[in-house]
Parts: sequence; C-alpha cells; structure tokens
Amino acid sequence: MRRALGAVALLSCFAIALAGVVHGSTAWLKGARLGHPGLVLDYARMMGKRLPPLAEAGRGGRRTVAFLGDSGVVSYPAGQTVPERLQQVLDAEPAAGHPLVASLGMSGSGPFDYYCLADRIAVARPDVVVVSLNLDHFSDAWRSAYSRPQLAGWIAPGRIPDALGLPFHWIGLTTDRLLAYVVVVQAGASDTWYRLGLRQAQVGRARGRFESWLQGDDPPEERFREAADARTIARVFSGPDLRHYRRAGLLEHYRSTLDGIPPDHPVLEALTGTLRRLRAGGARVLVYLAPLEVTWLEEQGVLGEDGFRTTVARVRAAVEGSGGAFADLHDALPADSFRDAPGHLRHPPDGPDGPARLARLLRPFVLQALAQAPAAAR
Amino acid sequence: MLFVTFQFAIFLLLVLIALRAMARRRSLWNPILLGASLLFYTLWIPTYLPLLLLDIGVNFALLRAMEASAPGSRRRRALLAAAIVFTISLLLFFKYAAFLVESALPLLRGLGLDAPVPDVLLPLGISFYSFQIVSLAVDRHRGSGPPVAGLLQYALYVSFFPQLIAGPILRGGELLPQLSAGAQPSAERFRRGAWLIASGVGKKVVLADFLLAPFVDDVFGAPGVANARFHWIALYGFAFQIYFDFSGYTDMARGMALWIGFELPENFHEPYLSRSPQEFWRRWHITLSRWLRLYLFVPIGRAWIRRGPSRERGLLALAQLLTMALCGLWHGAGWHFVLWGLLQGVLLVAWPAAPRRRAGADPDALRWRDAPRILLFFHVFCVTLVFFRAPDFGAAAAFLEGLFVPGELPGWPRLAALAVALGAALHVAERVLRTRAPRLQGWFAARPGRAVLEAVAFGVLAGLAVMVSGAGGEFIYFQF
Repeated sequence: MRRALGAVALLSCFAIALAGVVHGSTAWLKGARLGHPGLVLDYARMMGKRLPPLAEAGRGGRRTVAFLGDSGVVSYPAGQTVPERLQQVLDAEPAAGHPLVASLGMSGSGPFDYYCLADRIAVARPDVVVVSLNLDHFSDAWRSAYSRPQLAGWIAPGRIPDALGLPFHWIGLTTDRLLAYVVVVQAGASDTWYRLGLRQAQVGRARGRFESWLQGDDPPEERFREAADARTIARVFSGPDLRHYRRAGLLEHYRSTLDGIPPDHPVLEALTGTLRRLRAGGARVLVYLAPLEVTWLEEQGVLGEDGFRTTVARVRAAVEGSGGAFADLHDALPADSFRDAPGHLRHPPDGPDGPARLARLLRPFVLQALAQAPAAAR
Repeated sequence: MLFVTFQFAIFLLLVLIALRAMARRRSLWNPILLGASLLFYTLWIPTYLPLLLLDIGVNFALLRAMEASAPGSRRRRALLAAAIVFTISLLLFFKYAAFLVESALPLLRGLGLDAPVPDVLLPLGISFYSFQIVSLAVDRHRGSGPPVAGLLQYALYVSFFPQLIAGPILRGGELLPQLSAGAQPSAERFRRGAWLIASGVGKKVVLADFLLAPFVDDVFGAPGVANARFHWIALYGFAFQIYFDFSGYTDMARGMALWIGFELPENFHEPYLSRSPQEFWRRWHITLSRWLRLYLFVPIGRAWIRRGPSRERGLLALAQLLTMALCGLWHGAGWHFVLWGLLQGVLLVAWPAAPRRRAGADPDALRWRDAPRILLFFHVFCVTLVFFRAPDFGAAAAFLEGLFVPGELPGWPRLAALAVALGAALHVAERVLRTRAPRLQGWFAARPGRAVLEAVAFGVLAGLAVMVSGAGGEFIYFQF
C-alpha cells in the first residue's frame, strides 16, 4: 500500500511538472508576440469552416460543387481564385441552376491530403467534386516539401483498413502515427492538438528571436540565409548556365511525370482511394490535369512526349477506373495566362485573367457532371 | 514508432503494465515482449513484417541445422555461409540495390544496356538486426556463446524492440542468457533507466534537434555561401548533433531495457575526448566497431596473412582499409560514405598511436597534457565528417572550400557557437558523471526528498521536450 501511494505521489509530481511547463508556457509565448505560424492542421480547420455552409446549401436543395486544388487554384486575390471564378461563370448561366461552389483548396495540397479529408467532404454531400491535379504531385520534391501526414487524423475509423493498404509511408506517415492521429481526432482533442502545435511552432520562432537578440540589429545568420536564397535564385534565373539550372529545377518537379509514372505510383493510389470514397458518398468527381506552360517546357527541352503520354494515360485510366471523369487541360491555356512554369496564373490587374480562363474551360465539364449527378438524398 | 512520441510513450506504458499484470507468470514475459516487438515493428510499415519474420525463420532453421552438424564439417561451414549469404543478400537488395544499379549504369549504358533504378524503401533497422543475426551464426559456428533455447528466444533476440531499429548491436552472450533467466526489473534498475531515458530525450530532442540541427542544415544546405567561421561551427555542430542524436537514442534504448529488466551494453564513451583514431573507434558506436573487428577485420586479416605471412603489416593495413570502407558503406549507400570510411581506415593505419597510460592508470582520466592530441584528432575527424554529411562530392568540395576561404559575410553565428560550446561542455560532463557516477549516486541517494526531486526534474524535462519537439526529425541513425 505504501509503495503504491509512493508511486502515485511520484507520478503526480511528474504530471504536475509536465503540465506546468506545457501550459505555463502560454503566457510568455503570447507576451513575446510570436505571431501565428501556419500549421498543417490549418487545412483541417479551414475545412471545418467551409464544409458546413456547403452541407447547409445542399440540404436546402441547392446543387453544390466542392473544389479541391493547390496554389494553382487558390493563390489569387479574394474574388479571383479559380473556384470563385467558376462560381461567377456558373452564376452567369441561369440554366446551371445557381450551384454553390465551395473552395476547399490549400496551397501545396495534393491527393494524399484529399484522401485524408474525403470522409469529411463526403459527409457534406456535395453533388460534384472537382479535383485539380498538378503534375508535380508525382515528384519527390512535392512529397518532401508539402506532405501533411497529420491530416490522416480525419480519416474515419472504418476506413483505416483501406488507408493501411495505401502507401502512406511515401509521405512519411507510419501506422502508429496514423492510429494516434485518428485517436486524437476521434477523442475530440483536435483543438488541444492544434494549440500544442501552435505553441511548438511558436517555440521555434522564439528560437529565431533569441538568435536575433544575440546578434543585435544585423544578425549574420539572417544575412547568410538571404545570401543563400539569393544564390539559389541567381543559379536558377541568371548566369551562363541558366538553361542547365532551369532544366534541373523543372526536372526536379516533373521528372516522374515526364518519364511516365508507374501504374502503382503512390499518388495515383491516393487519388483513386479518394475517388472511391467520394463516389461512395454519392458525388460525381471530375479530375482535371492542371494546365502548365507547355510551350515554355518545350523550349527548355524537358517535355518528352512518350513518358508524358504514359503519365496522362495512366492518370486517366485510374480516374475513370474509379468512377470519375477526367479532363486533360495541361496544354489548354495560352502561354500569356501563366506567371510561372508550375502553373500559377496571371490575374488582374497585372495580366490576363488566367483563373477566369480556366473557369471557362472547366464550365462544360462541371455542367455535365452536375447534369449527371443525381440529387443526393439529404 | 519513434521513441520521442506520445504513441510510443503509450505503447511502452502498455507493455510495462502487461508485464506487471503477469508478475506471477514470468514464463509469459518473453512471449509478451516478442509480441510487443513485432507490434512495434508492424506499427512502422506493416509491409515489412513478413520480411523480418522470413529473416528470423530462415536463419533460425539454418542455425539449428548448423548446430546439429559436426564441428568443422563441410556441412557446418556451408550452413553458416548460407545464413550469411541469405541475410546479407536481403540487406544488399533493400539497402543497396538502387546504389548498385546507379553505380553500374554508366558501364551498362556503355555496353548499350539499360536498367531501371529500383525504388525500394529501406526496412526499418535492417542494418542492425542483420548484423546481430550474422554475429550469432558465426559465434555458434565457432562454438562460442550460449546456445539459443528456441525459436521464440531467437526471434526476441533479433527483434527486441528497444534496440531493434538502431542498436546497440548485440552478441548472443549479451542477451540470450538474460532471456533465459527472464527479465529482472528492480527499483534500482527503474531509477537508472529513468535517468538514461531523461538523458537520451534531452540529448536527442533539445540538443540535437532543437539547438544544433537547424543551423547545421542551413549551412550544409548552402555550402560556400557564408564565411569560414560559419562552416567550422556548422561542422562542429554536426559532430555534436550526430553524437547527441545517436547516443541519446542508445541511452533511451538502454533505459527502456532496464525498465523491462534487461541490461544492454553501452555504445559510447565520450568519443570526442579520444587522443587517436584507434581510441576513438573504441569509444564511438562501440558495438558496431566490435562487430567490424570480430566478424570482418579479424577473419579477413587472418585469411590474408595465412596466404602471405611475409607481408603481414601491409596486408593488415589493407584489411583495415577494406573494413572501414565497408563501415562507410554500412552508414549509407553512396560513394561519399565509402570515402568517409576509407579516410577512417587511413587514419587508423597511419595515425601514430597515443602513448600508453601507465599500468593501472584510469583509461578514462582526463589530463590537460592530452588536450592537444584530443583537439588535433577531433578537428581531423570533423573534416572527414564533411563527406558523411554532404549529399555528394560536389557539395562536400564546396563545404571544404568554405572552411578555408573567407566569405563575404562578416560576423559570428552566436547561437550556434553557444550550442556547440554547450555540447562540448556536456560531453566533458558526461565523462565526469560516468566515471564518478557511483559516488554521486551515493551522495544523491542520501538526500531527503530525492524521489520527488527526480520526478519534478523528469517532468520539467518531458515538458520541455514536448515544447521543442515540434520540428523534431527522425533519428539520423535510422537511415543506416
């Protein structure tokens, strides 16, 4: 009995000390004005805000379109994103029945993220889901830069066996992490998880602040980072070996696509898994290959025809095999629509309205999908 | 599962509770531990569990057949060879297939051939458990070391979760007798384990990941941009980062084993306080160095000397170079790792041995007169580390140039310099604590409220670890 009491007392001391550090840190972090760093979990929180109006509109009898994509879809001023332009195009056409287009995109997002969030999207019962597939999602560069394994917490428990069959390790998600994240979300602790992540990110910022404080007004680390960035940019955009570096940079992002992806590429498996889930929820799904500046890619000598055709064919087969519709728009926009090679579009007032052009290209496909979508049972 | 995660904390807690619940049925402890170890492995990537089971099953069958055959017989040798070839073939395929194909591609293309580069994910801990399998097979072939009691014990020897993924690399004699006797947890072991785990978490999360890694990654990511001071501090920083990362992991592994009731061997004895490369390799990743010496260097050296006894010194030097080149390759599938290993071999062969200490003198004593030797060797080792850390020869060359060419940017990276100084001070403190620990423990044990103080200290450390672990990466040694 005495030993048990001693053990409880020790554990209590441990727990109090742990809680003191974790919770007591809030005040000084706030006091240090460390701002709000962007977090992986922001995507899930954004979904939490945008899906209820979509579901509500659907319950009210309005047709709904959920739009998933990365920065090529959403990184524009308010009112000029591709989903917003699509909304405007559909609103201008009375025959379309004024469907609601909800933007569920996030910079850097891709099929693995959509797979993780598919259950939440399906619950909102959109009539049509549009998925923008960027061709650099097949690259290692995308995997290492943008993967958001924490979103796996929003996979429904019943779909865990299906998720375990996917190559999630490709984005660094191991089984234990998947299970832990799902448990956290199912336990209703996602807000606590978010707050902890926020504090951890703020501690990282505090480290930077401390570094700057040590250095005074002109921290050499800062200048070093600026110089390193400047050199990288210079290597890419100027100098005698311009073509070589441009080509290397493009290949880093598109080599897998240009070589021809294998039929079991992890991203393709995540995409088909997403489609299966959304289709099971009753939605029509349209996947389109995000437009690229093809002329420029050809000029740089990176657009190999055979491998590229293989990639497009495999994506098409995967999408159609999973019950989705496929549109290849990769060379559908004129060159002056683009502000860079990876597919970000020019927008007013600095250039032609690329997102509006893209929305007009998507219009017939979306209308067709809406026409085919049965009014979901609500 | 990474050790410094919530899910692992829960996993470990459940294992300890399960063992505690079966306190009256100790015979079930090893099956529980085996189940936990296989679950631990499965929770990484389930696909690779069959591979581990295959490795265990085939090697156990070969071991049994070998032990049943007559000592010195051809059959016994053939069975040992089969075990080694099977185990190393799996290691070669999963770890080195892409490297080998990529290295052979220029030749193949010259011959008008082509081959796809395999994209194989490295199974967790394969480099470590493969070496354990080989060492046991060789020991049993030689008739040394304890016999294996059965498949369950063999499987637990290979897959014991505290050391499955990053060592220490055990020999049969270190774990099998403990498995036969059963785990022996005690209050003393629990306390010692807690200190080791706390020390490991501090080293890995706070020192390696939070204080050192960001700066090291920045400078190695853009070699040649900053001035020489940045490069040197990043180099020292990496030396301490890799040490704290790996020795922190080992401390946690040993601490967990103690909580369960087993002793695992030490893997580091403050290697950067070595006076020579020979001493360094007796203090750095001790169990790997031992494996390389016993199962590679000695057999190769003996075999070569038997064929050319008159050239013993030269042949031994060659065996040393080969062993260390393979040691480099074990650390990573790349030619820059091979070069790093070769450089270690050259240092071992060419560096004059440090003067012997007087008979009976404490080999761990720190003496001021050793400082020049320690500093000289530390710097030379650091320079060789460039080939270990840089992703390729081009980046390594740019970094080496950056060490000696004054850059355009003035100033010092003060936080990084402070972190390196802290790392060095803690390294010395580790030696002092290790050599004087019994006395300190005796003094501390006599303090009133010691347990409460420990609980609060561990709680504070755990809290700090949670707060700074947001950007925590994987253990560097997981890649090997």
